[in-house]
Amino acid sequence: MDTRVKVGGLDLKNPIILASGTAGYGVELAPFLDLNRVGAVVVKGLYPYEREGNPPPRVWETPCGLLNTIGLQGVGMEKFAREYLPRLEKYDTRIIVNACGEEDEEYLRVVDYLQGFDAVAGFELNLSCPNVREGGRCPAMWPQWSYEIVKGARGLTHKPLWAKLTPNTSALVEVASACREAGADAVSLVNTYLGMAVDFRTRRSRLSTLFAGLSGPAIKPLALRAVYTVASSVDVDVVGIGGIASGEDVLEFLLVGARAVQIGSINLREPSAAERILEEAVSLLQQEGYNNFNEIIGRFEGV
Amino acid sequence: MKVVPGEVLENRRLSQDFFLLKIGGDFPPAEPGQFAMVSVSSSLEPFLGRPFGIAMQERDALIFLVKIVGRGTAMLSRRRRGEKISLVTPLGKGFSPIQGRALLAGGGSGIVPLVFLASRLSGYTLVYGARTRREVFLDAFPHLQERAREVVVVTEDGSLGKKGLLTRHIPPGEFHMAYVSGPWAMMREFHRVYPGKAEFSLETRMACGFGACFGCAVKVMREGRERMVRACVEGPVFKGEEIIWTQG
Repeated sequence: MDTRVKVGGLDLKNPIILASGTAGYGVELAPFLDLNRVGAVVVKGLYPYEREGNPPPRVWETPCGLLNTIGLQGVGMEKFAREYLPRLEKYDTRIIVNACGEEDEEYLRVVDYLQGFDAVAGFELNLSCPNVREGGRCPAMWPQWSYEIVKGARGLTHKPLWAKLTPNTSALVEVASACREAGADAVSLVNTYLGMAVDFRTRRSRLSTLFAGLSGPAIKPLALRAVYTVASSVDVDVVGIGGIASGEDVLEFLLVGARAVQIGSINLREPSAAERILEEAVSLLQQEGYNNFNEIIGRFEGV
Repeated sequence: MKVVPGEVLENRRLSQDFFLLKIGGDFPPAEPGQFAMVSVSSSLEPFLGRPFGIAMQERDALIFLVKIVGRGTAMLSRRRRGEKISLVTPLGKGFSPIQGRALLAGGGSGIVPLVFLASRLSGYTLVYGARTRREVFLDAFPHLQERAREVVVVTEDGSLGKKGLLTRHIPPGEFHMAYVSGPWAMMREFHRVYPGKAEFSLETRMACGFGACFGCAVKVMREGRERMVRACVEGPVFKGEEIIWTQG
C-alpha cells in the first residue's frame, strides 16, 4: 500500500512520527525500533545551550498515562549537531528539530544554527512546554506571542516550520491562525495538559513542580477534539498528537483532519510501538478498502 | 537491550511484602547491577513498566525479588504461572568488575542486585540489613552464603543477627570495593561512615528505563561539575564520590 503523506511542507513515507520528548534524540529508540520505518523523528527539545532540567521527581504515573515535569533537560544545539545528527542522518527518515527558548530570541538562534545542516528536514517550534516557566505559562497560550516567534523563525529559514501548540488555552484556534499567518507550514497539537499530583499524607506535590504535563491514552479524547476543532476551522496542516497507542487511534486523528500523527507516551512503555502502530493502521485501511492514508484524511462525517 | 516476550514460570510469595518472580524467555545476557523494565499488564493500565533489578539470570529465565510498594507491584504479585509478560532487558550500567576483596552491603529490597553480583564472586563479605528476619531471604538464594567469606545479618527489630541499622554494623576489614544497594537514607549514611571506595545502586522513579524520557535523572559530579544524568543509562550504579548526597 502507498503509505506516503504530505504534511507541513514535508513528504513523509508514512504519517507516523516520533513525538519530541518521548524518543530522546532518536538514537535511544534505535535498539528497539527500526527508525527507517517511521515517517519522521522529532528530537527532544533543543535550546542554544545545554540545560539541566527540573529536579526529581519528574514523573508520576496516572490512570492510562503519566504526568511529567522534565523541564527540557538537553544537550543543546551544538552538541546535538556534533554528536547526534551524524548518527541520525544514516536513517532513511526525516529529522525534525524541536526548537526551544527561554527568551524568544533563543528559538531563533536554534533555527538559525541548525537550518544549515542538510540532515535537518524542518523545525517544530516548541511554543508549548508547560514545565519551564512559572505556573505552566508558554507562548502558545497567546496568539500574539506565538505569532512573533513563528514570524521571527520564518524570516530565518525556508525549511518546513511547524509550531507545537498547547491545549491549555481558551484561544487555541486563534493561536493556530496566528501561527499560520506568521508563516507556519503546520501546527502540531496537542502538547501535554497541565495537571497536578498531590500526596495527601505529606500534603505536598508528588513532583518537583506544582504543575506538570499529562500525556498518554488518558488524554486521547481531549486531543481528538482539539485536532478536530483546529483542522475544521483553520486553513493549516495539522499534526495530531495525544495518547495514540494503536493503528485505530491513528486513523481517528486522520479522519478528524490531521495529516500525520505523532506517537508519544506509548514509546516509553513499548519502545517498538511505532512499527506496530503503523502495521495496524495499514492493515485496518486495507481491510476497509482504502488505497492510501490520504483517502481518509479529513473525511469525518460528524454525528 | 531489547523487548523480549516472556512467560511467568514461578511467582512465589516469600513474605507479606516480597515475592519471587521467575520469567522465562530468550533474554540477552545481563550484568550484575543491570535492570529490566517489566510490563505489569498487557492493557494500557497501569501504563508504564516497572524497573526491577535483576536478581539472577539463568539459561532461559530472569529472576526478580520484588517488594510490593504500590498498585503495579501488587498486580504483578498476582500474575500466575504461564501468563505472558513482556520485558525490556538488560538496561543500565551495572557494577564495575571486581578485583580483590569485596564488601557487599544490601538493605531491604536493595539486596537484589547484590544477589546477582555475588553469583559472580567468592570470598566476599556480605552485610545484609532488613526490617525483620521474615525479610531476610538468604534461603531463597543459597549461593549468597555458600560463596561468602563472612555474612553479617542485621535486623531492625533484632529478630535475626545483630539488632539495629546496617550502617552501624559494617564489618571491619580492608576491601578493594564496597557494593551498596538499599534505601537512599541507608546509602547516604553508608557513604558518610565508610571510608573506602564504594559503588551505589540508586533507585529512582522511572518512566521508560532506556534513556528516552529523562524522567529518572539524578544529580552527580561529572567533568568537574554537578550534572543531571539519567539513572537508567548512566546508572543505576554510581561511584560514591560522584553522587550528590544532599539531593532527596
